[in-house]
Amino acid sequence: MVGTVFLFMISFVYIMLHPLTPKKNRHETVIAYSIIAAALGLSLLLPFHIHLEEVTEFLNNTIGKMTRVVVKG
Amino acid sequence: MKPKISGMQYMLLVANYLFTATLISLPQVLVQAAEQNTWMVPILSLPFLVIIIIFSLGKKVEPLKELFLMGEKVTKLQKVFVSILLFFLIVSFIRDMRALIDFTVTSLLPNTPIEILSVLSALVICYVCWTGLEVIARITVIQFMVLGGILLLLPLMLANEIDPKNLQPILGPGSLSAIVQSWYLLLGWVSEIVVFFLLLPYIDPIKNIRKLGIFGSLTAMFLLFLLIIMQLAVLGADIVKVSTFPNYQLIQQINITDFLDRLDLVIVTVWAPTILCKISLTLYCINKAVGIVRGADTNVFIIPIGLLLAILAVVLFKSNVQHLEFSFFTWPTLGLALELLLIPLFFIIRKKHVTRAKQN
Repeated sequence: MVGTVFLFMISFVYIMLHPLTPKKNRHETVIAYSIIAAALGLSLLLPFHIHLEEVTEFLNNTIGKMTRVVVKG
Repeated sequence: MKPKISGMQYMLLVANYLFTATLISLPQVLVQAAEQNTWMVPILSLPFLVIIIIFSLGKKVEPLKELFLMGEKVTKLQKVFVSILLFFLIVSFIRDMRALIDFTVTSLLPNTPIEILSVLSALVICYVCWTGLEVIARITVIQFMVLGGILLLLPLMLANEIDPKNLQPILGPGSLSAIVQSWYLLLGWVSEIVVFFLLLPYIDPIKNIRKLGIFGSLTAMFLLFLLIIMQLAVLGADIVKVSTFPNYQLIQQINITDFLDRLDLVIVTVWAPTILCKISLTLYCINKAVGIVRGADTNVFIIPIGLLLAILAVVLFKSNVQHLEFSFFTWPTLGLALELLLIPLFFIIRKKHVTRAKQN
C-alpha cells in the first residue's frame, strides 16, 4: 500500500511536468499517461491478491523444467 | 544530436553489461552443476562470445554506422528484429531489477518494503537513462574501473583465507559433462551482448568494434573467472552451492588486520552503481527500440516505462525463490532461444544493409 501511494505521488509529479497541451506530439503524452496508469493499476492490484506471479510460475514450470532436464540429464 | 561513445567506453559498457548482473546469484547454480571445476566455465564461454561478435558484425563494419539510426528507413525485417529485442530487453530489465531489489532487501535494508525500493531504484535508473547514452557510458567507465581494480586485489585481500584443497580434484570422472551443463546455464546470460547491436550507430570510431567487443567480453569473463575461483578457493563448493549471494559472502571474508573487517559494504557501494548503469542501459535500449518500432524518437516514455517495469518486477515474482528459479533455469533457455533468433536475424539485416550501402 505504501508503494502504491508513493507511485501515485510520482505519477502526479510526472503529469504536472508533462501537461497535456495541444501540441503535435500530444499523442505521445497520452501514451505516456496510459503507461503510468497501467503501472498504478498494477500496484493497486497488489492488496487485492491478484496473482500475476502465475505467469512466472507457468514459465518456470515449462521452460525452467526443460532447462532442468538438459542440465541434470 | 546523435550521442557518441568512444571505443574504450563501448568496451567497458560491454564488460559491465556482461559481468555486473551475473555476479549476484548465478555462481550458486553454476557451482551446483560443475562443483570445484566451475572456474573453467567463463573461460569456455569466451569462444562462444567471440563467435557471436565475428559472425554478427562481419568484416565491413563502416556501413553499420547508419543501421537503426533515427531518421533512416526502417525495413519490416528490422522492425521484427527490434520487436524481439524489445521483449528480450524488457524481461532482462525485470530480472535484473528484481535481483537488485532482493539483494538490497536481504543484505542491506531488511525492513524496507520492496515496492519502495523498486520505485526508488526505477527513479534513479530513469534519471540516468534520461541524461543519455554518453552519461551512462561515463558513469560506467568510472565505476567499472574502480570495481575491476578492487576485484583484481581480491586474491591479495583474501590470501589468508585461500585453501587450494577446495579446488581439487581438478577434472575428475564425469566432470566434463558437468562443466558443459554449467556452461549451458551461463550462455543465456553472457549472450546478452546482442543488446549492443542497437548501439552501433553511436560508436565513434566504429572501425575497431569487433576487437573492442572481444576485449570487453574477455574483461567480463576474466573477472567472472576470478570471482568464481576465489569463491571456490575460499568458501569451497559445498558452501557456494547453498549460498544465495556467494560473492557477498566471499567479500565478507576479507579480514585485513583486526579493524578492516567490514569492507563488504564499501565493495557493495562500488558495485551498486555498475548494476544501476546496466539497468539504465537496458532502459535506454528499450526506449530506442520503442522509437525504432514507432518511427519517432522521444524521451517522454522513459519514466512511464521505467515505473511500469519496476512494478512488474515486484508483481511478477511471489518471492526471491521464484525469481531465483526464473534466473537460474528459465532465463538460460528463454534467453538463449531469443538470442539464437536475434543473431541470424541481425546477420541477414546486416548483409542487406551492406549490399544497399554498396549500391548507393
